[in-house]
Amino acid sequence: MNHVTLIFIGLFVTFVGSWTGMVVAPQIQLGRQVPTGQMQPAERPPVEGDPGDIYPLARVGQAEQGHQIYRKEGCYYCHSQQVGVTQADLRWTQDGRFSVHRDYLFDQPALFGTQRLAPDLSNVGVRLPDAKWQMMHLYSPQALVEKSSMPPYRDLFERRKVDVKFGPSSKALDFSEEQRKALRLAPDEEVVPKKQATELVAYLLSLKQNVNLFEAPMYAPKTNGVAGVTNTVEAASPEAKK
Amino acid sequence: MPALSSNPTSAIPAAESAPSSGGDAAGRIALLLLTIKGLGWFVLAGLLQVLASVKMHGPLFLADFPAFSYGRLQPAATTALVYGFLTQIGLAVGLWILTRLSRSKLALAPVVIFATVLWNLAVFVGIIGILCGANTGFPWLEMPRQILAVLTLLSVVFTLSGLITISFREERELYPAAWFIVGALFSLPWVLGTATWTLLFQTVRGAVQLSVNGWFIHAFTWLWLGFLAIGALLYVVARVSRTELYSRSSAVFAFWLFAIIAGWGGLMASAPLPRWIVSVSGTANLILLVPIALIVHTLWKTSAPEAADKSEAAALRFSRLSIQSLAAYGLLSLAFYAPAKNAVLGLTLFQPGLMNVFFTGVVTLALFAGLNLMLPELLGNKERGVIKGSTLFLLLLGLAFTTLPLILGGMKQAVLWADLSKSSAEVSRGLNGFIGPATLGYIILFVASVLILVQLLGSIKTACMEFFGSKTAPASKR
Repeated sequence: MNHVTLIFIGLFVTFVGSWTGMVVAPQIQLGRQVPTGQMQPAERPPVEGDPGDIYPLARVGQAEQGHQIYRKEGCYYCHSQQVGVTQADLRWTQDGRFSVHRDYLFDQPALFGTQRLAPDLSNVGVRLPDAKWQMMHLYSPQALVEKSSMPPYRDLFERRKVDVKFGPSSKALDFSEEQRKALRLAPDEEVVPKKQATELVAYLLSLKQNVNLFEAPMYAPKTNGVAGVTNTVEAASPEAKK
Repeated sequence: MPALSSNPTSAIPAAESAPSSGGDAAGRIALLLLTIKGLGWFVLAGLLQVLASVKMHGPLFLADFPAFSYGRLQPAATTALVYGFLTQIGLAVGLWILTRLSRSKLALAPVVIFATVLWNLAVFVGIIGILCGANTGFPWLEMPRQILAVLTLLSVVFTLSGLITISFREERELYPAAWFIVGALFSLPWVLGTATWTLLFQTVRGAVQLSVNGWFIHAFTWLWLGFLAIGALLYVVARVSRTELYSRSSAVFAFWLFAIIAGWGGLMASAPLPRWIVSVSGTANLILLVPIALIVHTLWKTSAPEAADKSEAAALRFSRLSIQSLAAYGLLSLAFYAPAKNAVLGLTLFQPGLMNVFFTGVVTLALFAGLNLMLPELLGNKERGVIKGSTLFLLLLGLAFTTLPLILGGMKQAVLWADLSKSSAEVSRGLNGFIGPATLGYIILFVASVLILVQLLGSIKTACMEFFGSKTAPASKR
C-alpha cells in the first residue's frame, strides 16, 4: 500500500476526531449558552416568574474598549482570569466561586491568561473597586505596592503642567506628597489619565464573577476574609508595604 | 545491534547512493535559505526573550516604551521562536531528509524559495504587529489573523514540496522517519488553518476559545514540532549508527498513538470547562507518555556509542541529548498535568520551564543534529557547517539555566499561592531568586544562537569562495 495515502487518511481521521472532541463538542455543549437569571441568595427566596438579575451582560462602552486595551498590552501574560476549584484559587474569590463558561460568554477574545505571575483578576472589580487606586496603580505600581513587579503604564497617562488659569484637572491622580517625591513630580505638575487609562480601569472594575449560578454556586460567606484579602490589604494599608 | 540490512523500511537507504543535494542548485539554495533565516530568527527570538526575562524582575527597564512591555515582548519572542526559528529549521531538515530518503531532488524548489521569502516577511510583519499592540490575545496565535491566514497558505506550499519529493522514491514502503516528517507536513496547514479559522474568523464564544486554543497548542507542539524532531532523530540516529532501527514497529505504533492522542491533551485540570473535557484531556496527557517512552527506548537502543567522522559525531551527540530531553519532558509533563487538590503547577513558572525543555532540549537539539549532517553535504565539505562542541556546551548551559530555575521556581510558586497567608506581592518577590538565573540562561542561549549563525555564515562564505574560485581557475588557465 502507498503509505503516504495511508498516513494522509489516518492523520485526517485522527485530526477530525480530536477536532470534533475538543472543538465541536464543547461548541455544541456550550456555544449556545445564553445569559440567564442568577440563583437567588438564600435569604431572598426565588419568586415565580422573576428571572433575577440577568448574567452575564455584554460589556459595552468604556469597559469593552478597556477589554481591548487589556489584550493589546498583553496583561494576560501575567494576570490570569480563571478561578479553579483548588485550595490555592480560594484567594481569588471574595466569598465567590469558581469560574465557569458562562462568565466569558461575551468576551471576545476571552483572556484566560497564560501564567499567574501576578494576581488573578477574575474578581478584581469586587476585590479592588476603587477606580482612583486602580489609576494610580497603573501609572506607578511601585508607588502603591512596594517592589511590585508590574511595569508602569505611563503611556496611558499625560504628565503635564497644571493649567495656570483653571487649576489642576479634576481627573488628576491624587498622589501623596511622599509618592509625588518618589515619582519626581514637580509641585506644578499633574498626571491625568488618557482615554485609554479610563477605559482600562472601567474594564478592570467590570470584572466580577460574584453571581450565584446554578452550575457554580457561591461559596459560603467567609468571615475571616481569607479570599481576596491579601491583595486588598496590601493595596489599601500603608502597613502592608513594610 | 543488527547490521544494516537490505530491508528498506527499517534501514536508512544507503546515503552514498543518493544524489548529492549539491547537484540541485535550487534545492540547495532553498534549504540553505530556510536554515539561514531560521537561525536569524533564533538570534532575534533570543534577544526578545532576554528583554522579556529582564522585564520580569526589572519592571522599570524600558518602561517608557510600550512596545517593550512584558506583555508584548513575551508573545513576540514566542512567535519568533516557533514560527521563525523552529518551523523554518524544521522545514529545512525535514525536506532535506525527504530528499535523502527518496533519493531525489527537492520538488518545487523555486516555489519553496519564494514561499520562504514570503514566510519571513509575514512573520516579521506579525511580530511588529504584536509589538505595536495588534496581538489577537490567543497564545501562539498572536499575530494578526491576516498574517496567520497567509502563513497557512504558505505552509501548503511546503507540504506540497515535501509530498511531491517523497512521491519520487524508489521503494514504496516508507522509512519511519519519513512517516513522522510527512505527518508533520500534513499537520501544519491543517492545525494552523483550522485554529485560525475557528478562533479568528469564525470566533467561537466563551470558554470554547480556551478549548480550541489548548487543542491548537498541543496539536502544533506534537503533530508539527514534535513529529519533525522525532523524524529527524529517527533518521540521524539510524544513519550515524549505521544500523537498522531497533524496533520499526514501536516507531510506527508510537506514530499512530501520537496522531490519535496529541490533539486531545494540553488542557489544565483547573480550566473553566466542563469536567468531561478536562478529564479526557488529562487522560490524553497521561497516555501520551506511552509513545514518548516507545520513541525514547527505540532511539536509545538504536544509537551507537560513537560515530565515524566529525559531523556524524556531532550529530550523534546532539541526538543523544535530545533523546534524554524527550525522556525528561515526559516525566516533567506527568508532574505538570497531574490533577492536584492543593498546590497546582498550572499557570506557574513550571510551564515556561517545561516548554524550554521541549523547545530547546528536544526540538532544537534534534533539528541541530539534522543540521550537522545536512550542512556539510550542502556546503560540499564533511567538516563545514558542523556546530562546534563549545557551542553545544553553551546551548546545554543555557538550557540548564533556563529550565532548572523555572521548574523549581514554579514549584515554589505553586506552594506560595496555596499558602493563603502570603500576599500576592510576597509571592512575586519570592520568585525573583529564580527569574534572575533564568535570565542568565536566556543570555547564554542568545550568545549560542549568535555563534551558530556567525559560524554558518562563515562556512557559506568559504564555500562560495571555493566554488567561484574553482569556476574562475580553469578560465584563467585558458
